[in-house]
Amino acid sequence: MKRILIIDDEPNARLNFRMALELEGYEVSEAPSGAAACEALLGELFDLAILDLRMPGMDGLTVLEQMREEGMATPVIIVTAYGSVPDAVRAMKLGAIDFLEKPLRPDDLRRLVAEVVERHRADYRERTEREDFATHLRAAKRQVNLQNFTLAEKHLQRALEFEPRSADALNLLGVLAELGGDYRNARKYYGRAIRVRHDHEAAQQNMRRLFELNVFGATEEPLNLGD
Amino acid sequence: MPMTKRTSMRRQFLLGILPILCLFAVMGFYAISLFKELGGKIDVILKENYRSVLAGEGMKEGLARMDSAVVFTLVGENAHRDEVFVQGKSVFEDGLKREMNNITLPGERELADRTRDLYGRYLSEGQRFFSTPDEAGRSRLYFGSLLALTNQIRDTVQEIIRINQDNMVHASREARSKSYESTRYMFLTVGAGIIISLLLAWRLQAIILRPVRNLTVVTRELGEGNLDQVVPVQSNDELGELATAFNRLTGKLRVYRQVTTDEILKARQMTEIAFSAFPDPILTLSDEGTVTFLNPAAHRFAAKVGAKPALPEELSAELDAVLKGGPDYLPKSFEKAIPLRLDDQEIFFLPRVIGMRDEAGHIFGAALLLQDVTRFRLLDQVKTNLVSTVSHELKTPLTSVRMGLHLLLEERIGPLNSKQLELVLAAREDAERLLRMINDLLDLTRLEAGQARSYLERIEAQALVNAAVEESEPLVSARGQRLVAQVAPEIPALAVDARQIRHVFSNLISNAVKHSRPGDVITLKAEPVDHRVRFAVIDQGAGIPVEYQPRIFERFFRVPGDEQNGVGLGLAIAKEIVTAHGGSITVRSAPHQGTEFSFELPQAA
Repeated sequence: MKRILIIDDEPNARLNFRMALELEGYEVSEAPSGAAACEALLGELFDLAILDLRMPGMDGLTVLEQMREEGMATPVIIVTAYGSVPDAVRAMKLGAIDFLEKPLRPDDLRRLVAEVVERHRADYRERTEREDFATHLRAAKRQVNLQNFTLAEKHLQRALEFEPRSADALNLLGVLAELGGDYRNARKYYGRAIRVRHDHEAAQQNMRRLFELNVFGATEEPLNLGD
Repeated sequence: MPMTKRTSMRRQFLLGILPILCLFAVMGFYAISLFKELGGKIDVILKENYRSVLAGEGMKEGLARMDSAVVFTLVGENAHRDEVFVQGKSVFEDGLKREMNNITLPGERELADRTRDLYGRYLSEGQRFFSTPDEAGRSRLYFGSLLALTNQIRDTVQEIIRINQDNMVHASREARSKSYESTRYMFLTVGAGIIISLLLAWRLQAIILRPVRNLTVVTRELGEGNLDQVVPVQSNDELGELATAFNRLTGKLRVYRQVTTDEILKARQMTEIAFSAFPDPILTLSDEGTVTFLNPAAHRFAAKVGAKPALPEELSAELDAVLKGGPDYLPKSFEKAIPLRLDDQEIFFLPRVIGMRDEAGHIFGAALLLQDVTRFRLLDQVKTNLVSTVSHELKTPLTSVRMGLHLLLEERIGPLNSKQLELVLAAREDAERLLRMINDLLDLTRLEAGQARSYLERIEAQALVNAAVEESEPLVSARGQRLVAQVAPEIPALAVDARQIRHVFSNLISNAVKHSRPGDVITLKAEPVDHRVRFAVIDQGAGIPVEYQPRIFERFFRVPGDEQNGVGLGLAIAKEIVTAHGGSITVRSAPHQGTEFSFELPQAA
């Protein structure tokens, strides 16, 4: 049974999340603050943490930073409120690439949780991976979670060999390039993603962000990794 | 004015030309009778006399033949003698007969009778001559009487010819003199006619033109503002009537001018008082850009700004544009406010430039109003922040409410009975609605604050329409309606923020869906309109009453009586987005004929 820690200062939000996830058979714990979360994480092992970005006291990103400093590689889903955007690059460098925007429906939550859990299932890690697009994409995301960005990029390149017209993979490659400070390549990958799929929201948002960084020197657009 | 007293101008005119008419009639009749007389007389005379002349000539010839027969006999040449004589006789008698029947001149009768008598004697003497057998006897007879008779006859006939010829010459001379005479008369009458006509024309123009000239002079004076002019009323015809009416008009104008001058003075005083009391600076400029008026606030403002009252560059550009005939510059957004430091405070002025136009629409100056919007701007910011903060704060509990409701509705926690289900469904519907409103509010505040900067990308109009159709199709078919896209061929590409434009489409389509009945068609159109692309969303719904159309894009505005739920932000958001793209959005609607929302976006460079 997978264990999930919900970190949110809102008791009702925690209740909802827990209800939604327990129905799926996850074992859910709650932490009402960043400090409590750190404590819980030190004491037990969790497969996944769901982290609210906006909390009084220690905010979500600080908690994430502390986790990584303590050497905890637990994958994290970050919950944001509409219009309030995390310092995307900072979150990404800490291995967080899965975001949920409030308000959300139980199914949105469950789908993302299932995806992340699936991504990190032990047998995938141990077994020689099958050679196909989905596996490489999944592996790439896992490597991002684990902050192995070079490995992640390799998987993405491999994934693209199977499906050179995958907007998702192209977009992720762009994100990785951007993380490495390679804006030229980032723009190239985002551009290709948009050309492949015109309505690719994530790539569009990333392109917009890059554009704003270029033009205005600052941006409020989040890094978007796609679904 | 009574009709009887008036000599109508038409009558004057007719009376004026009547003498000329009479003159021409008399002359015409005279000329016609003259020509008739001349022509007829000469013709008859010539015919009659000519006939007599011909008869005379015939007689002369007949006589000559008869004489030659006699002479032949005398010299012993008897062949054909009788034949020639008889021929000559018949020719002579024929001529004599014609002459006898054509006696026209005095004395002609005597001459004819004498010819007949002489001829009778000639015939009997001729008889004797031919019956005389010896040559000497014949000769005696010929020289004794026959030759003399022949000569007498010839002379008499010649006399007849002469008097007839003389008469012909005389008649022709008479006709010529008569014609000379007529020509002289004609010249005289024509000359008289011309003189009379000139006199009459002079009189007519005096009657008609002099009053008109008077009127012209007075009207010109009137045009120059001299209202004390009076046109002399000289006649009681139409022109006299006109002059009277004109004088009445100037009288009224005099009164009117007096009244309006007073009113203008009053209005000017009021305007000046209002301008002085107006707290914001107002200045007017001539069309050359020089300041012509400053109200006290503008004086104070100029004093504070200091020695360099130069306008900010963009404002003077707007001013130039208005002075060159452009539309008035009436910005509403506080973004257009100009910051100035006065007395160590930052003050924001929202400039407005209003062209002053004459009736023909020509610019003769401009008014510049600088509205102090510092406080409004502050309030606006507070409002925006407040709305944004409140919306965020509302979202947290709403998230829980919504998620809880969704969980309940999954019925995986436990089954709901039908009443519970109904209540929870209603609660979820309202939660969704609340969420939409909050999202709209946040969108709008972000758009208004200019936070949602646009990332412009090149995209085909067709792609935008396709995306809109794809996105809205489920919503439209769920209501039993149909979505039809009509995209003009060869439509240019656009440079827009596709996400925001999709938002515009989705707002307009959901609006159309709400106001359409099941079975209605919603049409999406795209067509090029000179360097722009015009998109339209057309429904067949009840339409928007005309009185509400101007307000339809206002925030929170909802048509009274509209039962559709919504907070009234969708159209405001659409307008913000379109405007931020440099486009324009309009509505066209008539009750029961549907509504067309259309927006134009500039095409990609």
